[in-house]
Amino acid sequence: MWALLHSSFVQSQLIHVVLVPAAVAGLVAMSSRFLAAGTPRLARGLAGLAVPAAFLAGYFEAYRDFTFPPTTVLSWVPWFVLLLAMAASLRGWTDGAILRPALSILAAACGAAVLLWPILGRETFDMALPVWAVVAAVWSTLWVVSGLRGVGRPSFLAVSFITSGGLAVVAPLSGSILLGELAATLAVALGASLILAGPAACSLVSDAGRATTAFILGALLLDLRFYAGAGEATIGAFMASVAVGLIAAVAIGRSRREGSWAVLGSAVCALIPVVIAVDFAFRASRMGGGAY
Amino acid sequence: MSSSRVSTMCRAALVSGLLSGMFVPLAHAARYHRLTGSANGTYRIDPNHSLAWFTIGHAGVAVVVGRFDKMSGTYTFNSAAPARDKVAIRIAAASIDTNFAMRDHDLRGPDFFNVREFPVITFRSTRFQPKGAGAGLLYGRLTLHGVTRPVVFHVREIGAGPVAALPKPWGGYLSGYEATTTIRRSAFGMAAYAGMIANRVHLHVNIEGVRTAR
Repeated sequence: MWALLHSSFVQSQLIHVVLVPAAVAGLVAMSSRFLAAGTPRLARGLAGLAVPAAFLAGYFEAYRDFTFPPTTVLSWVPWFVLLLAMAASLRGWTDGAILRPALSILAAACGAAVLLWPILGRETFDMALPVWAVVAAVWSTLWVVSGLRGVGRPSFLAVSFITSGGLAVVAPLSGSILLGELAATLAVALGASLILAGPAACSLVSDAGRATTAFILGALLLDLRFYAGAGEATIGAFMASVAVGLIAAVAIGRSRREGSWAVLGSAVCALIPVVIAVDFAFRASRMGGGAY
Repeated sequence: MSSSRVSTMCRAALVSGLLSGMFVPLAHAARYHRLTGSANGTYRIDPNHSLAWFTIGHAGVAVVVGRFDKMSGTYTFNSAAPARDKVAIRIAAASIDTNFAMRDHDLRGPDFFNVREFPVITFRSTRFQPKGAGAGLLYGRLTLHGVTRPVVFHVREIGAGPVAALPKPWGGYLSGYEATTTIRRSAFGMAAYAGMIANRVHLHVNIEGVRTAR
């Protein structure tokens, strides 16, 4: 085990995927705490950008593709993250019961269209439309549910952390270390923000944090299914993880059990499908012959 | 020894000698040799006798070999007017084969060739610069993983001439070449596993073409 740490490959993974995102998340979180007393509005805005900033830093380390116009599906992701972070940070733009879910639906529909275009563009309209519609519907539904008032910010943080952590394990087993790196980057960004911000972690999962996290998770799952060829059962388990975790958060919230119970309950409920997904991926990997 | 037995032996020796003498020119005709006809003309690449393959360093200790099983294209060669020389090749990226199914699955995924997004690898020549008899530098643009970069192949003609013994679609007036170049995969957006897999990739293309026009 310790011998692995001497490997330059493993060391580079630790730096790119763990240290850099954690450092950026910590830097932004600490900056927001420093500014909280003097400029609270700026501090809140900055705090909400900790997760997207950390993810973009890890994306730069792992993939380094910021070309515009984007040349690959994954190279669209940072531009969507930037756009969503800016749009969701504008006060008054996302307030209200209609505008916020409308933004979520629009972002999911556009994201599905752009990310699936290389595949759907080669199909007939009759074949492409249903695929896009199903993906957009599922993605936007989970996205809207994650933004409901009944889903507390800490619970959303916990569910997203569990799901992205599981994706970081499953993606390499399903054929893409790169997607695993990006998922791990998101998990580290969420975890580091939670740890370093302490009791103020709730403010870190502002609209910008929620929107970018929901987009990144959806984009990675979409890429894993349609471009890396992960099994439908594995992807279904991850979607179930998000759904079950969010539903658990709403249910626990309605039962008036707040605080740690809500977070723990939603995390445990989200963890069960993730464990199943990891088991699927391990079995498939062993059948394929293991590493190379 | 009786005279009849001697006569039989002499007849056997004579027949053996005659038969052997008949086979000698046939054995000479069956010897493999390079055809040295004119390579001028437009050719269709014969996919069953052509191959695009590559070698790449692995883990700092060995070289892995891979190939693409589906290739098509055309080429035109004109020794009197090299400006008219053209090569156009298409390779199905999903046809990659490194003799290990799980690795091939990963190579087709988003970390490497991303074949669902970029299903075709193409090469289009821009000019050919002869360098002596039957050799030269082929300049062109290689599109791989959605990125187009200029490359230069070292080309060597293997042979050219009529091959009537092969049935269609393989037979006819044929020519063959081998071409090599080296690229950096990171230049084409494939930089994954940098510490485990070399950046430099040595490309080899062995082509046999059937002439379709003079």
